[in-house]
Amino acid sequence: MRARSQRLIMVAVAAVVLAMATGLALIALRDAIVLFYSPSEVVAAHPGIGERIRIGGLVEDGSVERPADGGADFTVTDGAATIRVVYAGSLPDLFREGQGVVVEGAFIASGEFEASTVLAKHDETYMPPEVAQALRESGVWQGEGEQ
Amino acid sequence: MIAEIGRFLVALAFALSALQLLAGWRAASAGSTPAMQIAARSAYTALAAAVIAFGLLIILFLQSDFSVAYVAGHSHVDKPLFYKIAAAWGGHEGSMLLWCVMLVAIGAALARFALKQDEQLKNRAVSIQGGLQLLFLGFLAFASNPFDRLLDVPLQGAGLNPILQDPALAIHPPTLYIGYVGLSAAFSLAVAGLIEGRGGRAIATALRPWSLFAWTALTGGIALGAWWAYYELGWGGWWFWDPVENASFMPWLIAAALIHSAIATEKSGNFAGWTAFLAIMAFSLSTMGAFLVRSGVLTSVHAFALDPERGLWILGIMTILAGGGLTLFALRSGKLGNGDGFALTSREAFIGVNNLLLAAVAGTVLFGTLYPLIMSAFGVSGISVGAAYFNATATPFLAALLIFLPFAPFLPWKKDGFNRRLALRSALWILPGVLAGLWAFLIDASPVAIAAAAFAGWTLAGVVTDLWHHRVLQGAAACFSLTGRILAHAGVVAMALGAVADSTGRPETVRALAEGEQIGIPGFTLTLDGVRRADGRNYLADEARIVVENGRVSELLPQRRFYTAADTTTREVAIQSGFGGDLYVALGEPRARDDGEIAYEVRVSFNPMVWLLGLGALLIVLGGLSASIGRALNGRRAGMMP
Amino acid sequence: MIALAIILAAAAFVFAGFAVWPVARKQPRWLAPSILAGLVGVAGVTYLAGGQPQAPGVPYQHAAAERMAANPDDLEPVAQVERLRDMLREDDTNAVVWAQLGRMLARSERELEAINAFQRSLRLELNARTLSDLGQTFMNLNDGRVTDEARAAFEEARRIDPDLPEPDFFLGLQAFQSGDVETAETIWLDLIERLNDQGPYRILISEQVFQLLSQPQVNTEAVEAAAASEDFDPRQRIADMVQRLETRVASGDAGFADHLRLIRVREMLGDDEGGMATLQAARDRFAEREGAMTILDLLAAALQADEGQSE
Repeated sequence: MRARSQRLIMVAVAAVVLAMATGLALIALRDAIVLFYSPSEVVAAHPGIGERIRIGGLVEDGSVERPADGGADFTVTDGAATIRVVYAGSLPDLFREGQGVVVEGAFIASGEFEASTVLAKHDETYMPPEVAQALRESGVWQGEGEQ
Repeated sequence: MIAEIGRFLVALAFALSALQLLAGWRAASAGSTPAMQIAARSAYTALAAAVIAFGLLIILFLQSDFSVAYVAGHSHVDKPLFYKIAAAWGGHEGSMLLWCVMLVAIGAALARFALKQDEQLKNRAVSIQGGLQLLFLGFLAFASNPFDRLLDVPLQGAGLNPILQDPALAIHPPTLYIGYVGLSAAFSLAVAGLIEGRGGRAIATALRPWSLFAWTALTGGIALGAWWAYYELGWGGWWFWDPVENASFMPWLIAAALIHSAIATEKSGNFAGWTAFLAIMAFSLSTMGAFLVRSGVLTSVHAFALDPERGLWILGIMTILAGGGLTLFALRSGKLGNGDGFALTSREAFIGVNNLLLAAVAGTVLFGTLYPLIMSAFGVSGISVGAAYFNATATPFLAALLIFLPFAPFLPWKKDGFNRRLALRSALWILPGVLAGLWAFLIDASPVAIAAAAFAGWTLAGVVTDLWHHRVLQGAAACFSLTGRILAHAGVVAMALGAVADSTGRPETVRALAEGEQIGIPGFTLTLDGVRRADGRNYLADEARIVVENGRVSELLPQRRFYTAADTTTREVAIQSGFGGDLYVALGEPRARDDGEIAYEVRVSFNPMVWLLGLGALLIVLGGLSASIGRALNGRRAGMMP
Repeated sequence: MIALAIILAAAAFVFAGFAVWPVARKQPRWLAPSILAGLVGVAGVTYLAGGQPQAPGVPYQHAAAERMAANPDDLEPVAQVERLRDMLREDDTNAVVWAQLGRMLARSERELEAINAFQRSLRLELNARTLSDLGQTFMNLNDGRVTDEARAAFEEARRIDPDLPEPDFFLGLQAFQSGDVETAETIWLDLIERLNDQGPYRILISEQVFQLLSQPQVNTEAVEAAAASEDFDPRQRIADMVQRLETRVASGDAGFADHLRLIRVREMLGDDEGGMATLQAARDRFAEREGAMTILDLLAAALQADEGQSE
């Protein structure tokens, strides 16, 4: 085969793969994007029932309830608004009252937020960046830095 | 005093790297022998200084000298000895030092072993590597120094996090770093080759062994990290597509493409530009993986604002590496040569397809990982890209890779090779493919997973025929190379099948159980027999005795530990491994019921055939090592390589 | 500092010297020395950018030895805790040190660690004091409630050393918290009678017991319900309560606690005379109960002192 046509074929194949990759990426991205809200933003924006979102804030002190048959319910707050979260899974070990938490899930018909994952990290020097940002905007958190 | 000596040695290694850069450059440009000797000696002494500095850091950890900020932040006098040592590279500053040690070691290795037959190229590469050392040692010395002191010495260290006290996690970063940093050799050689205007073939020959070795280490490092996440985090998963994992996966993909395209370039000069491009990208992505992730920038650009100095350093290093490397590539790739050309069904063509697919996966992963960052630059903050995106984009391409894989070893270089024999042979692969697809169908896999399983069965048959067909190869070097190829490809098949099994979902239940109560997942009934205290030296623990029935009766003992000094709770999962998969039991928080009975949360999941993933990773690592040995033997015979 | 300078200089010259050796005796003559100087200069400046040559290293052993040599009372509480932990690192079979550590931790509100320390101590040696401290730490952890674990600890402490006052006091409190005021009263009065009137505890415990027993018994839900209604009048409620207590005291059904409550509420309302009268009535009624008399004597003294002040 001539070098020219060989190169043409390579370019064509590459273009096809690139087009497929771009197409797939754009389609998949539409369904996989999850927006992050602070509790006050949730109150303002009213995400629809069933829409997957992330909410980050602090676990309100004294708000954690552990139903007898498993799971846990708690309230996420940013000082300005609160969201009641129900979670059927097992809370992460680092979950603490008064500490930062990010929950991912969707609102259900009852008005509660049903979390499918709960991420927590309670290290004095660490705060999930999104949470730190949200809290700073609401004026709760005055911390300097996180690493 | 030890800390101050350590700081000085870092400074000295920094100065010596500058000398290595200058002397190496002069040696390459003017062909001066003393300059070459100085460059080599600079590399050796910089290595000695960096290694001693790292040793001193370990001594500081052994002494628990909390006047050193990094030690105070990452150790505790009660930490077990092994983890005191491991803490030396457990945090940002220490891991940076380890990174620099390895970078300098690569510099010394290049000076000592590389390219005996082309000293000009070698000197240029040593000089470029000196430049890399200068960048990273500068970052270490000025913005992340592990020897920084605290004037107000704390009474006790703060680093007693029990989750991080784990053997897999202790050896995971060094292994990963060998991989990341090993790719710097490919980077330096490619850049040196572009500057020197060498042909693609020479560059590919020079960088292949380094890339192979680095990629092998990277595989091991990623596998160790996944293994740790699997049993220590207590979530039951091993791959979450989070930015930290993606950051190591992208250079892995690019390096995988590189080691294949470099073979083609070496044999026939084809893909010369592509190979050089991959070599530049692989180390640039490694750097991004190691630094952007650690700095938290990938989740939010605000991390830059919070730590501007480090942020600027990282940004600067990234710009120099990727920007400089690619600019050079654009200017000089014309000199690489066009190669001999190849036919449509030659081995090159299939390697080309392999590379395109790997690059496509790397590209989509890169896009998904950086998307939140891109959007936040446009003022839309707080977006995250879920695992669904990565599964949807990566899986089809990875599955497609498997279709083409088995043909390549039977095809000749340059010439068309798809003849009747190969067609007949490949017909034999259809049956295993159908069987594997059937298996996936029976375990309720998704259509994509069924296809992936079918391709994996097809590939496995191909790999076996490859072994059978080439078994008569002569010579130790060829044997090691063949074994490497077979093992690595078989490892890929094992991982694919493991991922298919995993994709069928892990049955999982969480419930609070009181004594005597039961929980079930398909195939298993678990009864909480009782919970007892099982305190250890530095923790309080509840240990549940859980009786498992699945035809046989056995028991599992998951624990929930509270480390008083670290104020941290962890769960020690209990895993019952079998051929079908792992039964995975974690003990959660207790709660009081209304009748006063205490119920313990128990989380049970079944992870199908996880062992396939471990086996796959092991085979790939062994394959990489075997191919490296083959390569070394081959080189020795030809008198070019170490 | 001088030693450090010598070591650093030596290291610099050995390393840099090795690197420039290939041109050491070559022309031009200035080349090797100037590269050497450049290297040492760059390294030195880089070092000084953050180096603290004057700061000595502080290996943990030295820090611990210094703490050990120091007088514990001069140390900050956190340092005292570390000092005790250091001692335990040397020898973790010393029950006394474990108990001391537990007390220090309990005082700095690190209850879980304190409980762990007390339990370690008790595993080595059963000791009534330590058991009692353990019980109190359990209480602190549970907002002052005498939980089952705390109660078990106090009972065990009393079994080992019946003379120790705290276990009895807290066991009384446990009965009190569960609503059994009579048992609480008996335990406490027995305890006060048993205590040496020379010691400091008798007065302390008597005061505590008075405070607890004289608390008005309130049905919280009823109060909240009443407060929600429109014609709620707190004065009226207090008057009703005084009325009820007076009737009961007059009829002779009232227990010791009822007397104390009436005295307290009357004093609060400013009815000193009524208070003294009830006090006298209580004295007559509980004359044979030494513990009760102790509390009443203290109360009388306090009331007189109060009056003396207000006049």
